[in-house]
Amino acid sequence: MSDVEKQIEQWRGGLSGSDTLAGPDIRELESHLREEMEHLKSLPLSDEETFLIARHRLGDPPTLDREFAKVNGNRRFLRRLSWGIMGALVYFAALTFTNAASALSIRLACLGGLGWPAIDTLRHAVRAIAFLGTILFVVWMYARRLRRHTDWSPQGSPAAPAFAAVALALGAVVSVGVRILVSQTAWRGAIGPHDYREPELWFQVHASILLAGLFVALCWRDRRKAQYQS
Amino acid sequence: MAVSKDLVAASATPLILSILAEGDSYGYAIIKRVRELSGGQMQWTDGMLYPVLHRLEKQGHIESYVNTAATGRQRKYYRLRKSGTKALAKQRNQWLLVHGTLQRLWEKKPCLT
Repeated sequence: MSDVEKQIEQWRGGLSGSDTLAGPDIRELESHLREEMEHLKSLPLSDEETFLIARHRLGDPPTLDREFAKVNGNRRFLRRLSWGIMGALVYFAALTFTNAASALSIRLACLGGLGWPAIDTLRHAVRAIAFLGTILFVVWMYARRLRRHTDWSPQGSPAAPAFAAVALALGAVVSVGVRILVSQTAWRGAIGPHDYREPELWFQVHASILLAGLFVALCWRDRRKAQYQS
Repeated sequence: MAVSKDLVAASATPLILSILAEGDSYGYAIIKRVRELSGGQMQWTDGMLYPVLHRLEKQGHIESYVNTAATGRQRKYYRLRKSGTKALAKQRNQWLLVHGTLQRLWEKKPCLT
């Protein structure tokens, strides 16, 4: 691949991080860029220079992002919503993983003949590791996204993982909120003291199914629209 | 003399509709035509054209289709629809009215002294 092709690919990659530019929009802009470059070839310029001029004439990505938002505003909202849903799903998945890891560690510790204080310490350590793992996963996702974000990619793009992080925190707050509410109700004798984790679990399972469904629907809609436009 | 950004934005719709009234065209050719007609005085940021084209398409004034050029490159062409012709007539009347009003104001007045 020639240097200029690499630059075009990088430019395209930067644009694909945008929340408002859809696949067909980028293809149309790329076609324009190439046409402009071909036109400029009649001048005594290097390939790289024709690319730089054509790119400049097309407009910088933050401006493109802003202008396309006027017609694709819906897309920006839905993209951010799907990032938010993904964040909440990651939270629920991490919670399930934490609980499973904790239960497994207790069972293994029992089989290993460990005493209660040791088991309790182990359980907490496993929970902490699983929790930190989730945080690291989100940071990794964010960093991966940022790496693609060069000076030439739309400013809006790094915001998307931030929505996922906010949703993750929101998922945690809602989940803990449900737990506190339920334990308070349990304390008042409405439900048995040992059952109070049940409604929280019920909430997590149902919210996960609902959010996963919504996420799949959003992705499907995105794909269908891209196919229709191309 | 470069035309102000506001005026460029305001004239984008009638310009696009008028160019498409001459025949089907695609983004790059539309920009080129505007550049030629204005003698390079109307500086568009090329990328701004597409959101306007997509908005006109959503409004039903124009429609698009993909055509493969002789070079093998795929281009998205735009075609004026009936409602676009009507919109263009409306725009034309409005612009002529503005133009006429300004012209009357700027006409050289006879010297009275």
